[in-house]
Amino acid sequence: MIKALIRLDLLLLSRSRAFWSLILLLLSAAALALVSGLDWRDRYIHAADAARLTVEQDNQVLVAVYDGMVSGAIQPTDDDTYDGIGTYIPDPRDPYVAGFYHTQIAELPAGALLGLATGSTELRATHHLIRSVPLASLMRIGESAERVNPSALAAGRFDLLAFIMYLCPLALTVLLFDAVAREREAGIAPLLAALGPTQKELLFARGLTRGGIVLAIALAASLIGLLWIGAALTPVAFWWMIGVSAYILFWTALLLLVASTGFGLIGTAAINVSVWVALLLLSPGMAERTLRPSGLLEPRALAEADVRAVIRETTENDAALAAAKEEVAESYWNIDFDSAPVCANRESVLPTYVERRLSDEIYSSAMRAGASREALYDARLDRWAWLSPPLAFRRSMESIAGVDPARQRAFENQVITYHATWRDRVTDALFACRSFDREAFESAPTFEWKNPQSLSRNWSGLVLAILLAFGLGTVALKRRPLMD
Amino acid sequence: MRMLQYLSLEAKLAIRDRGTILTVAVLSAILIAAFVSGLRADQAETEALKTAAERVQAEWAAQPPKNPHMAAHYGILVYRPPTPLQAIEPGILPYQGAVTFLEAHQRNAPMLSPASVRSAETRYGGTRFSPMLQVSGGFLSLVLGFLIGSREARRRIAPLLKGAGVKGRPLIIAKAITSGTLVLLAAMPSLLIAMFQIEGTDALSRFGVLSLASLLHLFVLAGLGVALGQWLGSTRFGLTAVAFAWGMSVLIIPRMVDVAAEQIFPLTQRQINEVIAADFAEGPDGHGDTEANVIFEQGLLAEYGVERREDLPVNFDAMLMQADEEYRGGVYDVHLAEAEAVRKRQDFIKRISWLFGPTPAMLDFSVRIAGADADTQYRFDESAEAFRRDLVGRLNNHMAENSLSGDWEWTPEDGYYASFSAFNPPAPSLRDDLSDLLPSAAVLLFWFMTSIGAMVASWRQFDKSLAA
Repeated sequence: MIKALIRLDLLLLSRSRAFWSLILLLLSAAALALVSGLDWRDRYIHAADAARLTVEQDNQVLVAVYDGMVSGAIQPTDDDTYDGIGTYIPDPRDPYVAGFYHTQIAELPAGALLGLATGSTELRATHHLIRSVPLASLMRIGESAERVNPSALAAGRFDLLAFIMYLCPLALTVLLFDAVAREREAGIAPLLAALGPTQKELLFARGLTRGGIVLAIALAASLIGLLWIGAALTPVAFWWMIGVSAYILFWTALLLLVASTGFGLIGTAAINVSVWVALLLLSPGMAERTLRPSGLLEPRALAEADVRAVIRETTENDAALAAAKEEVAESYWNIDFDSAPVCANRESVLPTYVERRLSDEIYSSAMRAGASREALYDARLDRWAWLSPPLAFRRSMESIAGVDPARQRAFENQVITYHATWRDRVTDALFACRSFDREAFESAPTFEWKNPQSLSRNWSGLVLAILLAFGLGTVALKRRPLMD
Repeated sequence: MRMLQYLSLEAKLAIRDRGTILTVAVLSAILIAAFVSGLRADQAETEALKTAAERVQAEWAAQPPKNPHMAAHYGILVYRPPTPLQAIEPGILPYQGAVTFLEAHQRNAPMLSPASVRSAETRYGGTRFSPMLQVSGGFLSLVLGFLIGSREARRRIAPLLKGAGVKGRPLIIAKAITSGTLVLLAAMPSLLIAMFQIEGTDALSRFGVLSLASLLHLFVLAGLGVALGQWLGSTRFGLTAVAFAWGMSVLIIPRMVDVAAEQIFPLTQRQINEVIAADFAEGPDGHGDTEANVIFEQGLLAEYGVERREDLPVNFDAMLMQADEEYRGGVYDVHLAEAEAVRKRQDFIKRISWLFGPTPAMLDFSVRIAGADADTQYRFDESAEAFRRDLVGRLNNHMAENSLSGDWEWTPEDGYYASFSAFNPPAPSLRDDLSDLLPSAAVLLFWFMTSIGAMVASWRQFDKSLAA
């Protein structure tokens, strides 16, 4: 019977111009979403091109000096005696000078499925130049990764996830509002019941047919996107497909439940649309606003001021500088200048590193304080995910796609750690009276993004969608038959 | 029947309809909740930015003796001031940098956008008062108008009314007035609460214009709903078609047009960086060696009639750095103006979505009247850059005039840094912003006329079917 009902429904739909218009619209929108998302992926990947060029050019200067010193053609300037007159040639062997000139880049690679989902990748910097200068002057927290039209940025990118989240449910509301009401209002329900099919079978068949059509389009678009970015055979692609299926099933079950309530066509249509507005437009924003903790922006906004305060205090007078030097030596450098070799106490450069160390500590702790507030926000959103299933779904899919804020926070944390390593490499060399020879220059550690173990994927949205799909579907199919 | 009788009848029917009253109550509650939840949402952020701005300025003024160019490298931060109606319409500003680091030699983009540190920022939805009023309020107005407009058609009593001598014109007008009044009743509590919370004459003026435009927008949608209710009320897919069309016009088509605008007029940061870097290589470099430096030095030596830079009565390094600033400033001006022109072309394309419904135009109007649009961010960026150029220029010139070439240890007199004024960008008044409001206001008026036209067409159809 179910098969016959599905065939009948497909036949009815295939004869409807409105249905084909809807399908054409959905396919066009899916194509546009793919183009938009994949264009963003391409721009993201190339966003660091200019920074990479800067690194290359900066380091070529040092290579040229090393080469010039070997051939005798270049004699670097002695930084301790340079009076500002004449051409300055940086000495890459001098750790203090190398600290200024030797440049690295820290990049967050594109998430596995960036392009299908955009997440917060538009809003945060995805690469930072690293030198042994204050972190505050290098890290651009909260700077957009790329130039995007401001109003388009505020509205949100129309990527495949947006297509699946917003347009597919809207199409389902149109396809399912008359799942059983049409027969009831046309007065043919008793006739249909007499011929065999029950409301349960009719609902099930309509859900399977119409939900299946939307699901097929969503999965086909996803598959094209996955093939395009070369991720079709990866585990995340599997989870993406599961997520899409769960979400479409959730909406199909929800709308079938509305259809089974016995309202008329107008009533069902009104409820369907209201549910769509409430779940997709109202609930995510309300949940986010209600659960948002304070202190997300404040530590970062004040960090730069804190950094300047410490620089001002440290450079107030010689006594303040000496006290700061002592504090840094004891707390961070683990060096006793009284017993250290004379060359370790290089008075011309240490004040700079005292300031830098103090400012780095302040800046990095402010960044981490902000990040911990964000993590608290994430935890709250996960705990209360059931308040807004679409919000939970979006967070899960962004996590699967590798475009979630937690991944970017992990990147920023690794940048802070890498910068500290880079800076300590210079100070360690200064205190050990070492210089950087060509080999040390070339073997300098580069930034490697490590996917942290703690960065587990957020499954709550998927689990919630699956549970709700089965729960709502069961209730819809077990309701008291209205047409029998 | 006289007009008053039509109105009285429609009002009675509306009051007796629990669904209508429930819709009005829900809309009213949503708007009040949106206003209250947005009222204090940014307070901590705004305070943090204000405190940081005051502190940075105080510390700049009190900084210990320091070479001016070193002070320029240490730089200063400027913070974007709050907008007049931030609590009810933050617009695009949460997605744009609120802090700019100003330093010598380069123009940095604003950073630290509030949305960038909010883990989950819903962009398709949002709960602020004005967007909520336009989006959810607009939708419920449309539905309300449709339900009131289609009442007779749904109940299949239209022939009965026609038989009783009911005319289309007063009936449709009465329905439109009733729908509009219900929308006004729903929106009024939140508008009144908001009015008493907003401070400042300019903000109040802006709020007044925003309220009037919002009500016009809601009336337009209610009127369209009434007309569509007359036409589609008897069809089974009527309300769904209207709701689907609304969803497309408000949420989907604007996003599609966004994508199209970016594709038609593409612009990437890489493109801008590349042309700027290429042009920089051609000009003077305050800390490097370029051919332009040699030309500049020769020119300066000739100007002062000396042969060596050590003989110059001014500090050559400071003069070179200022030449570097002026050259780079010109490069930034040219290429960032080109980028801004691309942005404006993209925005123009985006207006295509205004043809599919009145809400996108109203959302644009709302953002602009609240002073929270892309032009506001552009003005902040430009003001910060003007402040940077003035600050760095004064520092370089002071060093040039009071020290000699090569003297990097020279420090200015006590209190010198306190002589710099704080960053205080001009706050445009409503009058300044009026011209920017014209396109969306014109489109809203177009939709108002369309709504009237639709109602006229619907009552003619009602009368025509009566005559038939």
